[in-house]
Amino acid sequence: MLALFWRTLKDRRILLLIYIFASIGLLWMYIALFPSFKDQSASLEQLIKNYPESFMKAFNFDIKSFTTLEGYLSTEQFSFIWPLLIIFMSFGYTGYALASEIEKGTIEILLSQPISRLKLFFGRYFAGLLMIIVFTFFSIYAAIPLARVYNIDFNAHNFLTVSILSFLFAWAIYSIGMFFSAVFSGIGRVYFISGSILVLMYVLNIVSALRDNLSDFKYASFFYYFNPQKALVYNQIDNWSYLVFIGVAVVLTVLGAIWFSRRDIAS
Amino acid sequence: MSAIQVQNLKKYFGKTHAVDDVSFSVEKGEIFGFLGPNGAGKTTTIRCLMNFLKPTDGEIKIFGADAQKNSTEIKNKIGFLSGDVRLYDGWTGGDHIKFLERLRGRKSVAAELIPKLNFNPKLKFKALSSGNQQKLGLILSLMFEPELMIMDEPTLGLDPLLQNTIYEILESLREKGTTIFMSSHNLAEVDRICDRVGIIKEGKIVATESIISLKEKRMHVVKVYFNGEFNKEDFNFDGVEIHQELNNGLLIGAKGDISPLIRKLANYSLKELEITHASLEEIFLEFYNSQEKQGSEERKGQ
Repeated sequence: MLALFWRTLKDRRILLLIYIFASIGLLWMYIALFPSFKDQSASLEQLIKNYPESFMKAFNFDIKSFTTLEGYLSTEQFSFIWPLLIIFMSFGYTGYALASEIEKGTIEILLSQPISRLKLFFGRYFAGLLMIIVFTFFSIYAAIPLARVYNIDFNAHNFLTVSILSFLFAWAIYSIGMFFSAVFSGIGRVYFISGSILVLMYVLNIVSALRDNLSDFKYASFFYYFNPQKALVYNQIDNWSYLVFIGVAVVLTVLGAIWFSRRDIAS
Repeated sequence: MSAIQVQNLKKYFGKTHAVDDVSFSVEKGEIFGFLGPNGAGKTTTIRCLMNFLKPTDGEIKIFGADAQKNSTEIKNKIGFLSGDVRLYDGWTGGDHIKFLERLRGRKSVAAELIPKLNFNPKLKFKALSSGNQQKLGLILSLMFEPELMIMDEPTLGLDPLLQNTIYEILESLREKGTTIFMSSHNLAEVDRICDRVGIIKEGKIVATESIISLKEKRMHVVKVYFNGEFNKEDFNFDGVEIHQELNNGLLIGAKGDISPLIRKLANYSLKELEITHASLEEIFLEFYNSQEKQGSEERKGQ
């Protein structure tokens, strides 16, 4: 399993670096802009007071979004850009991990070796999970040296909290992708179904914030439980966030592993 | 103990019965050819042997162990080669070899195989010709000196020179006592290297025969020209079939013992007589035709 684990990391390292540098680049841009943003915080405060409350809730806006680095980053980077990067990275990897191997027929060389399907699944699974941990760490903690460069105050402990929340969110998304990659034999189906689920969750979260009678839909959305502002600004993670993300990740991982070890594999 | 023992193997995909109640065994050290046209169920059977596909029903034992439950342990003894080798485009041959050595945690004999096959391990897989891709597949399947080789149409699409190299390797493996199970629809290669064959048609085993007994059942094709008149009814008896009437002659097919036909011919003055052995291909087709006749008679009976 270790041979597969390391080889997978070796094959995907360039892509991982691209994602990390892209994320750090964006983070750098936002942090570089923050001082000028902060200078205009008074007028921005006036401006956002005119926004409807539901809009603010839907897009995680807050008055602190413009006055503190944590609030600003949670709104600019972690509410939209970072989730988008982790979704692309996770699904890109999960499609490759199993479904693409089946589609291309390269899985046969792995299946013909004395390695169980469970080891094959988890060799790929843990390699991907490690990449997510590495990405999460660098894409979040890079904010600290960058903030120092621009002499911006920050609360380091809150970055740990948002790292934990972000990792759990990423793990749950990754597990959805791995599950469908274990189930389907084509990469297109994995992308389509996993992507559709995420888009649906995003829409449900927006709609639930805009319409009172649909507010319960938010419970079906990862984006409700993923609240980077609460984690980064207020240093809090809801218990439900732990429960939902860990629950989804564990259940789908176990189901994916069982499915993959029992299914027919023919390219 | 047989190397492979397949009992009542069934593999259904919905209403499609890809493999339907197939039974056969392969003894240790023999080369067993699995013959059949495209879509007959050869690859599905092989994928069940390799546990890529889970059988709908039936039992597969490899070296006495259950091929599904003990799949991981069994694969230590198996080398697998597909006719359509698909590997990682961005890896070189050497990368593939190193990866499998690390995966199995032991050194291989790849270094000996590479010069034998005149293969360049530094090239990426995507840069290799189809023949060289097949060579790499062969190296990967042989590098751990397996006790059993399972090969799915191993010479498919290869030039005759490379085909010949593969036959030579298979023959040397036989000398070492390696069991070889190979599917093919190339009768000439089966004729050349196999000890026994299983013939599969529409998911069912039609016959399992040794090559020798298959050849003993060999048909003869008799082309005869008579000096004068002849009665073609004289040549209408069991085991003999008139294929074509020639100009004062006959083209006759004879199955099994040819003596009765020779005795009949001895009653005539012959202008020309030519007796040739039917090819394995014609025998194979004979198996197929007799099955089809049997099937259509059964349908008529219903």
